[in-house]
Amino acid sequence: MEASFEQEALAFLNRLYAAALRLTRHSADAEDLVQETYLRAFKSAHQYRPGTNLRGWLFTILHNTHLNQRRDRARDPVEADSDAVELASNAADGPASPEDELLRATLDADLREALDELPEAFREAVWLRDVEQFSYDEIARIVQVPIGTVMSRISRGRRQLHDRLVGRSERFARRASASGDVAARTGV
Amino acid sequence: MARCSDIDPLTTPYVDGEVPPGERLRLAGHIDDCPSCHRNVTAEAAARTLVRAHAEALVDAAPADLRVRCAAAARPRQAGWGLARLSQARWPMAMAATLLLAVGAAVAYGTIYPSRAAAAQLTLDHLKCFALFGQPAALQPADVQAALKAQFGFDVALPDGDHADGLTLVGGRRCLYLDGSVAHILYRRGQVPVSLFVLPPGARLSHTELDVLGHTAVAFARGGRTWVVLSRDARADVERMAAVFGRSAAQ
Repeated sequence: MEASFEQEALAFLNRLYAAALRLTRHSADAEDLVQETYLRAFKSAHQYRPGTNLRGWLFTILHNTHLNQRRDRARDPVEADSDAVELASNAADGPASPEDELLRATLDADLREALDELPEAFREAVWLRDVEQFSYDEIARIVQVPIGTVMSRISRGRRQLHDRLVGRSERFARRASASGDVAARTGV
Repeated sequence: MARCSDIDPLTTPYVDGEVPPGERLRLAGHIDDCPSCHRNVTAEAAARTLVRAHAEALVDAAPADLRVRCAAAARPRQAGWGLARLSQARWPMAMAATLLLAVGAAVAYGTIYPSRAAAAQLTLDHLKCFALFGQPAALQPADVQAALKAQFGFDVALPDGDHADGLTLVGGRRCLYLDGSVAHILYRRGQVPVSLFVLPPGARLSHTELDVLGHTAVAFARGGRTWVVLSRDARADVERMAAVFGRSAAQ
C-alpha cells in the first residue's frame, strides 16, 4: 500500500521539478525544493486520503515548501499583486504583431525566459493553469488565495507574458534590421 | 451596457471557455465593441494558446540523480548502501543551517580558505556522513568513479583494492560544503573512518596539514584540484594514505 503511494507520488517528479524550476529559476534550488517536497509528502503520507487528488496535494506541498525555503533564504522580495506590477503590465507599447506570427516564432527558450520574467505570483498561476491545467478551484487551494485572485493573477500573467513576447520579437526585428543596414553599408 | 471594469475580471473564464453560453454572448457583445477589452482578450488568448502549445516542451525532465534521492526519501531506512547514497546531494535546510552555525566559517569560492575553519567544516562533514552513510559495505572504485564523473564532471582515479593500503571504499557523496561542489569519498581503514575530499578547481587550503577536532587533515594538489585526506588516525598514517591517493590520482 505504502509502496504504491510512493510510486504514484514519484510519477509526478518531472511535473514537480518543472514547476520548481519556474518557481525558483535555479536548477539547484529546484532540486532542493523537489527533494524537500517529497520528504514532506512521504512524512505526511498518512494525511493523504487515497483516491483524492494526489497531484493537487503534491503541488500544494511544493508551493508551501517553496514559500518556506524562500523565506529562509530571503533571496527575493515577496512579490504580490501590487499596483506597480499592474502598471508595468500596461506599459508595453507598440502595435501588436499578428498573434499567429507570435505563436509561430516563439521558441521554448523564449517562452521560458519570458515566463521567468513575470512576477512570481503571476508566473505560478499561469503555469498551474496552462501547463498543469488545474481548475481555478484547485489552484485556489494550492496557493491558498480566493478564486477571484487566482483568475486575476492568470489574467495579468497571460497579458504580461504576451506583452513581453511581443516586445521581445519587436526588439529582435529591430536588431535584425539594424544589422542588415550595417551589412548593406559595408558590403559584408 | 456593461462597463469594462465589470468585464475585466471575467476575461480569464471567457478566454478559457468557462462562462455559461448566455453570459458569454453578453461578454462577446461588449468585447467586440470595445477596443481596450478586445485587445486584452486577444493578448490573453494568444498567451494561453502559446503556453498550452508549448506545455509539454516546457516540462523539463528531472535529473536522474534527483529521482534517486527522492525515491530514497521514501524509505530512508531501507535504501541500499551504494550509488543512491552517492547521489544524495543535499541536506534539509534545517540541518544545513545547523551545520553552518556550528562552523560559522564564511568562505568564498576560489579563495585560499582559512584552513582551520575549512578543516573543521570538512571534519564535521566527515563525522556526519559516517554517522549516517558510512556503513561498512565495500563498493567498487569504478562505480564510484562513474558516479562522480556524472555528478561533478571530472575523472577521479581511486586506488584499487591491491593498492589501497588497507583502505576499503564504503561510499561517496556530494558534500554540503561550498554549495555541493566538493566530492566526499568515504573509506574505512580497519574500523577507522577515512574521508577523501576533492575540492572544486581554484579552491585550496592555506596549509597542507592541520589537526582539528581530534582529526588530521592532509591536503595535496593533483589535476588542478585540492585533495584532502582526513581521519583520526595518526598523522603519519594520514600522510601515507595521502600518498596512496596521490599516486592513484596522478595515473
